[in-house]
Amino acid sequence: MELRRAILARLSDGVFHSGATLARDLGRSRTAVWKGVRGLVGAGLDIFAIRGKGYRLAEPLELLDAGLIRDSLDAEAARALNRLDVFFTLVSTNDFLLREARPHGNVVLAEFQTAGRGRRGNRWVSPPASGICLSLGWRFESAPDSLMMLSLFSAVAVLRALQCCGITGVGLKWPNDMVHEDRKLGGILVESRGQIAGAVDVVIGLGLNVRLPPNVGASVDQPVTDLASIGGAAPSRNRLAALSIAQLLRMCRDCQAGETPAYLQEWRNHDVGRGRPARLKLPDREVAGRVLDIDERGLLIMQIAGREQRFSSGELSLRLGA
Amino acid sequence: MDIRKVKKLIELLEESGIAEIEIHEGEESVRVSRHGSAAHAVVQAAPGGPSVAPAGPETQARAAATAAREELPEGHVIRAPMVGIFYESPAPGRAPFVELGKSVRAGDVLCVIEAMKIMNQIEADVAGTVSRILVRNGEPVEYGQPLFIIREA
Repeated sequence: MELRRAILARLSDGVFHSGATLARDLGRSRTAVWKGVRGLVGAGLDIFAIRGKGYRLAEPLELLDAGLIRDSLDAEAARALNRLDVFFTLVSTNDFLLREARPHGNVVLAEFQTAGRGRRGNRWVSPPASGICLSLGWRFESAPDSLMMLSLFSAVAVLRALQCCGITGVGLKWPNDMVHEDRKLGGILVESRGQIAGAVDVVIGLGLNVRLPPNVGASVDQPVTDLASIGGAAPSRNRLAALSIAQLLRMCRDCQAGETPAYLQEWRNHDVGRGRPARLKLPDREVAGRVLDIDERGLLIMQIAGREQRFSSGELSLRLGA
Repeated sequence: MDIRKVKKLIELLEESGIAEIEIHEGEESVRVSRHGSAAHAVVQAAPGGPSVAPAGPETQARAAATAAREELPEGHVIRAPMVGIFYESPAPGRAPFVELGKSVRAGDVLCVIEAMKIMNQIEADVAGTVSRILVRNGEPVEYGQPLFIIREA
């Protein structure tokens, strides 16, 4: 993995590097370099290999840098942060923090997750260095009333980070998918661990597409998009990571203090579902109707066969039409 | 249905002086009735699907079942800390976190309750043996609803 990271760091400028030069600089054989490149391609990266010229990334990219991210945090976030780690490969950033005894204030990022997770065993697919795969741990000493809303508020925090980068026009699909023109831009998976009474450890996982290679859509079961497609140039991944971390840390503190009405209002302002026909997949059945709103506890309100119903769980798919 | 619960129902019946108790739990129901001084129990499994009973009696039966459960001396009750969907396994197709009769340690994950894409791992707060699983995979649960009974080691 170290070799793959080293190769990617060399190729990140988007110009040709010969296999011989890479092998010499990295102190490895040309075959090892070739295998490393093949591994990166297998993970979903777009790398050209041309005889006589060498290897080149289709698009230049920016690798994550823990020092750079830490230095970009505002003072408030820097105080709230306990530890920040950047890995090239992890199975899943959420799993990594969930295994820690006390993940409070810890942030972990990975260039690549071998088994990134979404809800209920869904996979989160993201080729190396194409997005933000980030998890943040927080301990609520006593579960706040708004704990269930954390997954909605986390999406609002990420929207705020995007706005700081000048990216607007991103909507929210209940409970926390970030979408642009009905294509998925990112998602959040919150996992908590705790006993019935007492402190709750929460891990907030964020997956955000920054610049996806063109072939990635084929391996995902729904329409996807990335920040580079919706905002022109892709923002700096390190800056975006720092802004997301700062906003998520602030949101956790606001949640603990009960200062959440603004988050709920912002969520509603960005709701792309309201008024639209939709289906909701539940564990044992599927319902169809029209999305009305969310309530003050974050539950989805749908009109189904003339009746108003509220849901705490399920996978929502919106359809076109009025 | 747990034989200890039936025994408890019989005791309740004998103490109370009422003639008959019937409770429904998932696909199972039990009716305990008194004939003279002797009590006997009839346990039956409903033929598929949840049993449908008129609202009044069912509510009473539920109340009785809850009362019986509250008083069950057999173990430590793990309750839902929140509203959501109960999942017995980390993902569809994966093995359940715990099974009936398995021993658990304090801190072991028993189930996941999901609400709004927050997956809450519910941990055991005592060590012991899982003696009852009171909810089925994919069912919605209410705040405070009993999920498991653990017979403490």
